[in-house]
Amino acid sequence: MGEISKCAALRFLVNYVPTLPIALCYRPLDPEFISFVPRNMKVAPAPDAEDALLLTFPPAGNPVELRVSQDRGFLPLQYTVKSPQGITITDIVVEYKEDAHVGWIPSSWQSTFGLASYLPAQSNQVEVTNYALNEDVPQDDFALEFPAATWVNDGIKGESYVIRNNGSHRVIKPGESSRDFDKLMNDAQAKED
Amino acid sequence: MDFVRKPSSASRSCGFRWLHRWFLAVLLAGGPIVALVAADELRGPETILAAWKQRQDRVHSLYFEMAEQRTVPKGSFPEGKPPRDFVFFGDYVLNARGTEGRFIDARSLWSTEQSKVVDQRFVTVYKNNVERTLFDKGASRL
Repeated sequence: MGEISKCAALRFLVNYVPTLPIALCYRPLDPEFISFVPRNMKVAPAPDAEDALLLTFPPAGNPVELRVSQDRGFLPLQYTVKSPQGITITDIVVEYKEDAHVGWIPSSWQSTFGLASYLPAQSNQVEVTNYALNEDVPQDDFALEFPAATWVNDGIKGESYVIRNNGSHRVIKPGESSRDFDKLMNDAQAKED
Repeated sequence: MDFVRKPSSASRSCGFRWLHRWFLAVLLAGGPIVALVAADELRGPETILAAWKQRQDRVHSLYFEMAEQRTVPKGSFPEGKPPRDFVFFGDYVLNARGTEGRFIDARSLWSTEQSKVVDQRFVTVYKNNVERTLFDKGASRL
């Protein structure tokens, strides 16, 4: 299945938990952060570490706290989202390693997050296994063609279609969406032939 | 709001230079409390934003491969699901340059809709404010 939709640039990077620490490190000023507005931050010493600061943000949604390192260019060390009642909803602790060429790199992070305060919290541990900064990126890396026999929901055009073997689209008509995909595809191919 | 940061040991060893800065801070602030502030030790929003911008501007493109281990305890979803503890493993690849990006997500997870463990694999590209996602055949779309 394929999907097409309009989106703000890099929305995925800055609002997706698995990549959030990378966004906080390298794109902290991206306007697509939905959880906080950097320019509205308030700064205070972190209570638990001499070299850390605690940044808080007026709640756009739930209150957000960001602990940063003074000695490492204000890198984010911990990202916490709390409920209006002060219960931690999401907590991400980031570790870094120093690369002689590109500086501090987020190397791992641990997250805990609760879907609701009355449910047990889930957790995850992410390890960076490979990285590169400022290397040439082939233009093809940002292209994605849907192969034949893909059902595509196009949110921009407001239609769904299947892709025939010749690459043309067979639009799904109202009432057809519940039809068996293989039958739809065979039908599309028969008309193509 | 700016605040005072304790001087580092390196700063303390600067002798006359350090005293000079304290004295300068006293003169500028006109009060004994702020005399504890070294002129180059202030850290406030503008300083932080400037450092963030510098790092953001310095990194034009980035590529990260990540391995995830996720622990999903019994009952961490509504209605007591899943029925037992699970540990899931996943891999991500992130490739971004400017406002363009590619993200690959491949992992197992608990599907609340299907009430079972499913595989999720997809690739998403972002270009010209359009997001295109392709889900692997046989993998669930969540």
